[in-house]
Amino acid sequence: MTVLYVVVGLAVLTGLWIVVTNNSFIKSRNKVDEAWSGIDVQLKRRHDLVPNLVETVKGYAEHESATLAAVVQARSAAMSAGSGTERAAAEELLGSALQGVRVVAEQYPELRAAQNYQQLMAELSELEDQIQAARRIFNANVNAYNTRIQLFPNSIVAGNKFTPRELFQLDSPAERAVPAVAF
Amino acid sequence: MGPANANAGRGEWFRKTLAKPTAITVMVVGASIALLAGAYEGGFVGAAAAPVAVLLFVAGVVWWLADRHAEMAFWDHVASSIGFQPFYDPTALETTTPLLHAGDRRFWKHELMGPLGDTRLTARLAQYRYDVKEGEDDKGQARYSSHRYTICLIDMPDSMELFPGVYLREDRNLLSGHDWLRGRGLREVELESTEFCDAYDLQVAREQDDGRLRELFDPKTIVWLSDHPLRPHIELRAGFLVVYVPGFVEDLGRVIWLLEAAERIAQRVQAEVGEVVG
Repeated sequence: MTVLYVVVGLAVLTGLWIVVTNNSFIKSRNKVDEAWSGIDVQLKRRHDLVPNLVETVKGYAEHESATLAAVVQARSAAMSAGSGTERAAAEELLGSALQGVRVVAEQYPELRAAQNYQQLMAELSELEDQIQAARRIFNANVNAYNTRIQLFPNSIVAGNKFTPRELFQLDSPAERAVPAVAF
Repeated sequence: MGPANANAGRGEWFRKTLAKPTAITVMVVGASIALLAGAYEGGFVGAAAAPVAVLLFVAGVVWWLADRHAEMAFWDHVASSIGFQPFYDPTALETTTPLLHAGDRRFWKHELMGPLGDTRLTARLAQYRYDVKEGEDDKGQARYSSHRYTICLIDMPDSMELFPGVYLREDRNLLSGHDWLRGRGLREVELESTEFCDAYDLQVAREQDDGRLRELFDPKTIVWLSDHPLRPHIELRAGFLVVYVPGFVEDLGRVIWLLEAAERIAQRVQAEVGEVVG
């Protein structure tokens, strides 16, 4: 009889552990999704900013149509990209294209002095900071989730139902590079 | 250059004061009287112990004075460094947020007020302690537990409508002690960051708009709060913002950190209010 009690007790404890672990995985996965939607919001804000920026720059730098076309194209690609790596690459491209606009602006003092341009650039910088922060939150959540589902014995409960997620990483060597400082 | 913390200069003041003729006279006269009285009352043991007791007592009093002197010098230096002035009615703050009227009795020290960075707002900085009555001892005397905080309070009446109650504290557990927010009908909110949720406990008033709350805690603010070495806590209610940290902050660097944190949070609130009003 005692053995039966022990077996039943162990079975109940195991069942409870499975339920709790499973719920913690779901919670963790939802956090990853929530963090992704945080990045998505900021990226969409950046997409919305691009047409205004292009129009403003066009008004002062008509001869830079190639740079502006690259920005418009990168924006379209980013908006139609799927998720994960493809999206990261497309957004990366848009970031580089916008960087190109900054470089172009250096050659047009009137453009740089325009209040509208300054305001748009300030908004863009703020958005880029927000994207960076949102990406950090997302990656931290992904790391926590992946670790949770991959650790033994959690991995038994995770099985094929909970699969690891990809980080939202930068591939651009320019952004990864440490700035050189010369004195 | 002033003292860097509330203990700086205490030892030096103690030594200098003990070396003053007045202190030496008090010690010599006191020890002599104690020697005679001790010898008369307790023989050889009394004659040996009484002067020692007197010397220790005098040293203790001087140490206590040195401690207070160092603390006052430090807070004067803080005030001049950050451009704040003392204010004299801290009890008015007790009607602001739940923390500031928590417990059964409240005490304030080193109250200073002045402009908060570039925000055009006025901040009140103080060390704050509240006591909770835990019961009575055998003699019928009340027993209290004390809870200490360093607070920075900012009056932001425009935020009242948008933020009826936002309370951000370090993540609490069963050992966290007295909870002054219990029984206020608040609800817990989890933001998207695991790191942030592990570090903080966020509660809001039932009527708080979640969209507005998430605007306030944008990704940059979440990351900044998660990384901040002081782990600033927030209470935002009825147009008052209190940014605080547990314990009495007693070094200039941390005081400035706290003020900078308060400034940044106040700017976030201002930006949100400005978005709606503008």
